[in-house]
Amino acid sequence: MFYRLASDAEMEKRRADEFEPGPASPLKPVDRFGFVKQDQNNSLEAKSKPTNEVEREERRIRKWRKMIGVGGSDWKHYVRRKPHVVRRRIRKGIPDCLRGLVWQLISGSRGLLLMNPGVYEQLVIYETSASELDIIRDISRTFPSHVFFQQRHGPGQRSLYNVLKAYSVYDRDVGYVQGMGFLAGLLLLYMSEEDAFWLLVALLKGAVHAPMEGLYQVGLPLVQQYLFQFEQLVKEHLPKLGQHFSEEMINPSIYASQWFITVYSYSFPFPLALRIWDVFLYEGVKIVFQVGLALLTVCQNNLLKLAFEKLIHALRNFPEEALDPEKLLPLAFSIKVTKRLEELKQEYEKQHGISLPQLTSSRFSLAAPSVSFLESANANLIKDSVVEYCCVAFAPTVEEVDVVGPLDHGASVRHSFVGGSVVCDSLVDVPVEQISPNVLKSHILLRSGESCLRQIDWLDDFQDSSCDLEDDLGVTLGPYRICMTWRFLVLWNPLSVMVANNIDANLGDKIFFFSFCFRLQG
Amino acid sequence: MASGIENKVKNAKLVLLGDVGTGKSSIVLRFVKGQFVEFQESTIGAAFFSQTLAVNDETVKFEIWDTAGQERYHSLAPMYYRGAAAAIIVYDVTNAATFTRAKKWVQELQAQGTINTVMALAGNKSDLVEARQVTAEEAQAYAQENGLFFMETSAKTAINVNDVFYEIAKRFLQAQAQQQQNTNGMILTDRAANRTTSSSSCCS
Repeated sequence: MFYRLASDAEMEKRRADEFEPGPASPLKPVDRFGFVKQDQNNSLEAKSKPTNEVEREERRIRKWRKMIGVGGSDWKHYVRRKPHVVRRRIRKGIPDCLRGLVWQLISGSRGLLLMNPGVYEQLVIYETSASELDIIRDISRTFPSHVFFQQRHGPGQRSLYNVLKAYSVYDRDVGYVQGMGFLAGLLLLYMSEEDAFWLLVALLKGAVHAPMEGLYQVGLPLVQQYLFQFEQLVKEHLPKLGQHFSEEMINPSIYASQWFITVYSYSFPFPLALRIWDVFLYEGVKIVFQVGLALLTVCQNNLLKLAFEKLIHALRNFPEEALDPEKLLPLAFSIKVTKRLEELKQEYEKQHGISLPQLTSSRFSLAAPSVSFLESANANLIKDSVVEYCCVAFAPTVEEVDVVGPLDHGASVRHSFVGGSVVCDSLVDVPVEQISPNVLKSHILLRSGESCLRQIDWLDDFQDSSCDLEDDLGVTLGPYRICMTWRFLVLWNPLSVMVANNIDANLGDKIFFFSFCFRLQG
Repeated sequence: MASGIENKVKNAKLVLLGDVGTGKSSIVLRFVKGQFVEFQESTIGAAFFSQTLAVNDETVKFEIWDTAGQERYHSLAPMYYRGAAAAIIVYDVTNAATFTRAKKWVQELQAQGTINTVMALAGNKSDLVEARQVTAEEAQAYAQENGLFFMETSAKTAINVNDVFYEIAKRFLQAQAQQQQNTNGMILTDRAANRTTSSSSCCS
């Protein structure tokens, strides 16, 4: 429906000869995943499966179908009741025919999609992105050997473009970064573009696990952190190899940065990448570390013999037998990293002066927004005492931020979270005297579609609870609320929109929003 | 004789820098494997290759770092160009913006690089005659002003690709020889070297 490429004209402007004239010849042999075969003697793929294996596969699929229920209806229930069964089955690999659906269920993207009808369409059709040309340049360079993405302007390339463009609008701070295309491309082989978009959002904004947008933000902060953690883990788990790497001046940024940036979707055998993604979406990023360590473990004896140049080559071209998921993954699962990862993260933050803001009250610890926040915010912001998140947004001028008191601790922390917000972007240029609840509403409508507007009603109820908010957070929202009769409203929808409603007119000439995210440890 | 040549293999770290889609990876692929693919997968992070080249009776072994072009990956670039003996800065002759970006890379290397870094400016995709946006004259003039050598290349048709690496190898060996003499007590009057020294001292 919205396949129209927003930049058809730009596409046309490009030289015709830059693109392949037509679709790949249908005669080219492809593997079962749709990649054009490089060589004919592809040993693993060529054999047809023996009958008993086919039967086993069918039994597995039946089990999975039962676990999921119709359209995912039983899934949540099952996960809650038997999380270990789910984990075990996911580790064995999600059946390929159910993969797309299950990925959406375990990543939290399904929820985002349902809560935001029409938003994706809005982003694709009505918004323009500064990254459009960059995206176009890379489109035919993403999985160029896959039939789906080979055809110029074909459905594969169009949906890849749409997803990447939508994301670059959705989070203008991140925009488009090379590498995202491989994530999106992988997802598109298993789901519609709208589903793929929300899964990307769920991953990067942290719907279930910690957000990964830092992989792509300016300075690639999360890549740096992961590489630091990985280097330490190599030294601890494989001391000999770690020593050898130091002597040869090899550090993980030389060989492992793309492991993290693309979660193995780049230059790894596709069957392995899929199995890693099954686990990655359910258990989080630690599997990326585990697989990396497992690979080094498997190849250790060989790697120890090699000097710099051959070593780099070996680290970028692992032998086929090392990449067999049935052997590599069990080894990966056996490597315990969770606790050390957390410690190393803290160590890294200490070294790099990334201090987590401490609130005056020790009841709170800062945490990334997540779906649990989202759900609790929507249902009952403060009352649920188990784990809750809360975001506060308001708009003093920049100078005034300094006097906010307890709140300024957080001001610099997660402003990126707000930077990606839709409303804030569009409001910055609106003169303050013109901001009224109605203006706000129309902005939300304009930027995010009707689904958000409906949530405003929910907000109206919340206005009265801003006092409760103060009490419960143990912080004073202070002069702002009193002097300016602001009512701090928290609008949470997955677009991380935050709105201050009923804004007094006597402010500075610009509106700034700052956000916090606290977790109440009840 | 054979063992004599063996002794003279010199390693040179070489880095390719330049905007997205200018053809850095294609140039390397052409040089190292003699291949060309129309849709080269985007480079994420960086890629590493090595290739040896014989120059007269000496052999240069290039350790080639092919970097990702996108601005966002800039923060990784210093790791790859640090200590590089040579750099090829690539732009796309059919895209003026990539030439501007190339100049920025030159500036960055000049500000940070060592005196002995041999720098080449490569205007790639020279086979696309009709879409040209950057003239060879303009690029040549810029290269001369900044002490780089310049060639237009086409990874697709293989024109000048090996030549760029050959020229780099030659200059690299010359620079090494000069450095050798320098340490032996001879005074050098290398203008490019002087300029780099003076500019770096005034900047720091």
